[in-house]
Amino acid sequence: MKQNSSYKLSFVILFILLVFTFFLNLSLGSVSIPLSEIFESLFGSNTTNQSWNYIVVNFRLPKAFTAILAGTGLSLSGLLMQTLFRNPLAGPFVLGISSGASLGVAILILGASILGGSFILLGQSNLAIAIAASLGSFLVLTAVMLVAYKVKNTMAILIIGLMFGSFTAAIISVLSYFSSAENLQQYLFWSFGSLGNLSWNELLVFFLIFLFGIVLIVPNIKSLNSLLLGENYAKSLGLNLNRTRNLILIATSILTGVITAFSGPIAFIGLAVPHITKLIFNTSNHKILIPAVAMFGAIFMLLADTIAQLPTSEFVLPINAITSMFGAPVVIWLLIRKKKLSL
Amino acid sequence: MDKKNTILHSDDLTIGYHSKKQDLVLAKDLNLSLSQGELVCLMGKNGIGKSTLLRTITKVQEQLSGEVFIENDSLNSLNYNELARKISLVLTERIPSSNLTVYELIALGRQPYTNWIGTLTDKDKEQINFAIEQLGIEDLLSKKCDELSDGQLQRVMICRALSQNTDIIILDEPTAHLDIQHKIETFKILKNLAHNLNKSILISTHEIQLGLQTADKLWLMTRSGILEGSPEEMIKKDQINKLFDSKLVHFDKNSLQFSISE
Repeated sequence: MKQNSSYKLSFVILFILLVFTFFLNLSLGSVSIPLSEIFESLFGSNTTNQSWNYIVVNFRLPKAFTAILAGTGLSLSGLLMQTLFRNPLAGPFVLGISSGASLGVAILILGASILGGSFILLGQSNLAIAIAASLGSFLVLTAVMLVAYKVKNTMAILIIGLMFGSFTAAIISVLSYFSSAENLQQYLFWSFGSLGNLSWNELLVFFLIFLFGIVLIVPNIKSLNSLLLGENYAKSLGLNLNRTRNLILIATSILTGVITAFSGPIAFIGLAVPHITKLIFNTSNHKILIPAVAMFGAIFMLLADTIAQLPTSEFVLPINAITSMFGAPVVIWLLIRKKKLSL
Repeated sequence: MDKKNTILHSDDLTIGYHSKKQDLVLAKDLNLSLSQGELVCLMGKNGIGKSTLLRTITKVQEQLSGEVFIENDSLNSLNYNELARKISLVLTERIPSSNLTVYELIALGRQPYTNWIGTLTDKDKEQINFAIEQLGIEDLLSKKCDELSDGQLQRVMICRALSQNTDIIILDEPTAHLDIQHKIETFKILKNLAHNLNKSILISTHEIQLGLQTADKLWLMTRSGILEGSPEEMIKKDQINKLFDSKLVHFDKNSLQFSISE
């Protein structure tokens, strides 16, 4: 059909954009490195400048990959939540899943100063933070699910999700109040979000967990399409609702958990990118949406990170601020133009 | 058993809701049957349990006791996908707002048959086109579902059920939001599907007059159980009046109209 070929073209454009933003992200930073040098660092021959080589291979490259993973994962999670809850306002952040991850990390980092002992050692490793964040997000997600079983009203579930968010924020406040300035600062910096700081080994762990989340999503593409009709119709089309719902929730909590763990609670992407994609692609078919949202998420995150670097300056802005600052106007602009927000 | 092939029947079916103290029984020991090529109208006043009965027959809700059989298989022995190849549904609930086109929506009816990612084969497309032809909605296909009027949407939803290619189609108040023209058209479509394509169609409805004119069989749901029979029989035995227990309502079997009793 005609539609299919136009999607192919869109994907080609998306892919070119992705490659472009990837190299843009690599080439801009506090130290200016010529693009030719970057290519040389990436693809072989020994470069003239060892420190440039080091910056590219051990700093900028892992950061760009982290941006891709975080952008992709959060956007897909948002899409899944919007379809599952049949609510365009849903997203990992709105439902309190990110707050749960924050709570896990807060207990680990801030709890260390209160409880002391072995917690202090744990608080230092990225892996411990990852586990704490995953557990936290899974806990909140399970709570939201239990509520979802009892309460059929989607708006009620959303409000309850927000309540979980407030509740966890309150616990974090209490923990902050009692913890040391040093730990508090560590937690605060974590909550600003950061794509850097990951070693190649940590990135590998990140990637493997991320991949596991993605693998759980793929078999649900068909189910997600039938969920567009609502749960009752989906069931009448042979959908095993409980299994699908659980798979989607587990995939989402793994993705948001691992991303929040390694790069902090990055707001906004999960809500905005699915809408940007739906408005541009003008479809609800998840066979198209899932790859498109994944690529848009990566592009958006790479751009946000490039801006956050404040190229040529020594300052780096919190990634969390940039995503919202530049993302919100984009969504508003698209909505005013297309005048419609849907699943 | 009927002359015609029975496709769905219940065996001492009791429906209602489980609760901690005492089960709420809405109807007891139902022995109903639905045959091939038959349009059955389920009627009853609000709250009598029509939706509960439909939910029980379609395995959305568990029965309190008894059993439902589709052909010779007990409902409980069928998994969701097997059931989706036997029964398709048109529900009263509105579908959530989305970018789905009419064609995509109808194509979702093929999900019980498609592979893991939902690729449509030539046979699937054939079924879809056949359903579209039957409903005469060729001009709507590229529209978004959100852009349809209630009447158009109902046709599309019936088309989706038809593309699912099941022997049984169950519709919950399919004419609730429609004007009289679309009500009559919907009943006509359903009757044609039953008689021409040999589908078994069960609808719950408050359109008693239309039901009397089109149905092959009525299931009248009353406090004391479900009365089963052809419209003529029901009118003759003055059963229609048992639907409502208010003294205000009276069905006149000569004019086939409801009136307010003095």
